[in-house]
Amino acid sequence: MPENTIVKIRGLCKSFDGIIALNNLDMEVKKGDIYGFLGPNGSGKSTTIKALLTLVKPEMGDIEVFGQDLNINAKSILKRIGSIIEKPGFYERISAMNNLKLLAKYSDIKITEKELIEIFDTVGLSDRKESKVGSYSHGMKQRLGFAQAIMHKPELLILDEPFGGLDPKGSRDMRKLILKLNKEKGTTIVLSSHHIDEIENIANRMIIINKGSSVCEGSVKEIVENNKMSIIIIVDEPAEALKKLKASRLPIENISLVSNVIKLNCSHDAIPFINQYLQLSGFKIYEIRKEKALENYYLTFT
Amino acid sequence: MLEIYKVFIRRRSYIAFGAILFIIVLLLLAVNYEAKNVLDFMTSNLKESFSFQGNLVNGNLYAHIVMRSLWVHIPMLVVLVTGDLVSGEYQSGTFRLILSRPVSRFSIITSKFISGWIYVLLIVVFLAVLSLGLGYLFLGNGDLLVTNNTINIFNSDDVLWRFGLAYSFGLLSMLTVASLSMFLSTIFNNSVTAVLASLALVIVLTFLSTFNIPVINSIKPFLFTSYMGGWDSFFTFNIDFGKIILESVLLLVHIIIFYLLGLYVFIKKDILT
Repeated sequence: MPENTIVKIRGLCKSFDGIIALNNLDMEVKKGDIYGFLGPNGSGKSTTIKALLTLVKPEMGDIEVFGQDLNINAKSILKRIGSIIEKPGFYERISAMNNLKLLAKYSDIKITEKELIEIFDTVGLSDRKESKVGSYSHGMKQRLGFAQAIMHKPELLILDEPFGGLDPKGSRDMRKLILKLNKEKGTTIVLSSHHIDEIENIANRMIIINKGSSVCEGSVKEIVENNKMSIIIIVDEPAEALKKLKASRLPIENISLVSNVIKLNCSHDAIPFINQYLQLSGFKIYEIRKEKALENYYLTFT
Repeated sequence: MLEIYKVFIRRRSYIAFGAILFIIVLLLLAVNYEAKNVLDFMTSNLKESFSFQGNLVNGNLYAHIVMRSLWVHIPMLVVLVTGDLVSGEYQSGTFRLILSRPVSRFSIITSKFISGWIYVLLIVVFLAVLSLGLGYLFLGNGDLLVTNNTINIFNSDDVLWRFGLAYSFGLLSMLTVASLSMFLSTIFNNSVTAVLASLALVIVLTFLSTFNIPVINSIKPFLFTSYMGGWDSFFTFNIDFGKIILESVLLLVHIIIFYLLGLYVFIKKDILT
C-alpha cells in the first residue's frame, strides 16, 4: 500500500439475512483527504463504516488501515481512529464529562481535566459539560459525539452522518471544525452524508456507492468537471431566446425549453458569454443559475 | 471496574435491593406481630405429639423463613438487571462507541459477566446480612425450628455455619441464573426481550424441575433449576455433602457453559444498533 494511502478496501462483501449490503466494494482514502462518502439509504455506507471500525464482520474482502491489516492489528489501528456512527449513544444518567472520562478509560487514553474542558469548548458545550446526557438535545449529543471522536487526537476521523439533527449554526460549526482539523492537524476525514452540498463543499475526494458497490470514486473536482454543468436561464421571451441560442455558435449542448425555462449544458467559462449574447440580443434576463452538478450526477445512479 | 460502575449508574440496579428491603421488613413485622400464629402454622400437625417450649420465634427462624420465601423471587430480580447488561448497551447504542475503540470484545464481555456476578453476590449478601441482622436485632437468637417432611430443631450455636453454606450454595444457583440471562442478553438487541426470554426460560425450567412425570424426570438432571433448591440440604442433620458437591459442580459447569456461549455470540455479533 502506498505510504500516503490511509484506508484501502478491496472486494468487501457483506450480507444480512441474505440481503446484500456490500458487494465487492473497493475504495481508497489518501492521507489528508476529506473523503466524501455518498449514497442513498441502504446503499451500504454505514455497513462500510462499521466494517472499518470492526463493528461488522465482512464475509469477504480486505481492509487495510495505516498500511496494516485490520483483521490482525485492530487494536493498534483503532487507537488512531476517532468516529461518530449515526446517532451517538451515551450513558444518559451520567454527565457529559463523565461520559468522556469513561470512554477515555476504554481507549486507554491519558487525558487531563484541562484537555477535556478544551474539547468541550471546541464543540461548544462548555456550559453544559456537567449536565447529564439525558438532558441533552439531539444536536448537543451530536456535538458530544464529535467531542469523543476527537478527544484522543486521531489521525483518521470517520464521521457517519455528522450533520444529522444539527441546526444550521451547528452544521456550520461542525463544518468549520472538520476543515480546521484537516488543515491544521492533517487529520484524514471520511465523511458520510446525505447532504450532497456538504460533500461538494468540504470533500476533496469522494466515492458514490449504490447497492453496496462503488459507482465512481475520485476527486470531487474531476467528478464535477467530467459532468458538464447544467444551466438554468429565465428570460422574458424564452421561446425566442431558445431559437437565438440554438442558432448561435456558443459552446452549448442539450438545449431545451422546460416550463418556460431554458436548460442547457455548457462549461463554467461559457456562462458570461451566454449572458452577454442574450443581453445584446435584447432579452431581459431574470436569472441564470447553475444546477448542482454533483446532485444531478448522484441522482442518475440512485 | 468500569462495568461495575456502569451497573450502579442504572436505576433498575437498585430495584432488587429496594424490593428485598421492602419484603424483609414486611416479613419482620408479620413475624414479630404474628409470632404465635407463625409457630402454630408451622407446628400444626405436630402439636399432638410434641410440646414446644422456649423462644422458637427468633432471628434464626425469621432468617430461614426469609430464605424460603424469597429464594423463589430472587431469580426474577437478578434477571431484571443481568438480562439488560449487554442488550441494554446494544439498544442504547453505547456499544457502537465502546467497540469502535481499542478494546477487545473478550475483555468487554468477560467484564460484563464479572460485573453481573458481583451484582448477584451483593444481592445475596444484602439478603443474608439484612435478614439475619434484622432477625437477631428485633427477635433475638434462639434454636432454629425447620419443618420439612420431618421436624428438625437446631441448637442456636449450630445454625450460623448452616446459613453461611446455604447462602453460598444459593449464591451459586443465582450465579447460574445470572449467567443464563447474560448469555441471552448477548443474543437480543432489545433488553425487554432479553429479560422476558430469561424470565420465561427460568420459569419453564423451574416448572419442569418440580414436575413429577416420568418423561420429564429423565431430563431433570440436565436442568440447572433441579439443583437450585439444594441450599435447604444444609438444614438437615445428615447432610449429604457428596450430593451437594456434585450439584455445585453441575451448577458451576452451567455457569461456564453460559459464559462461553455468551462469549462466542458476542465475538461473532455484528453491532448494527
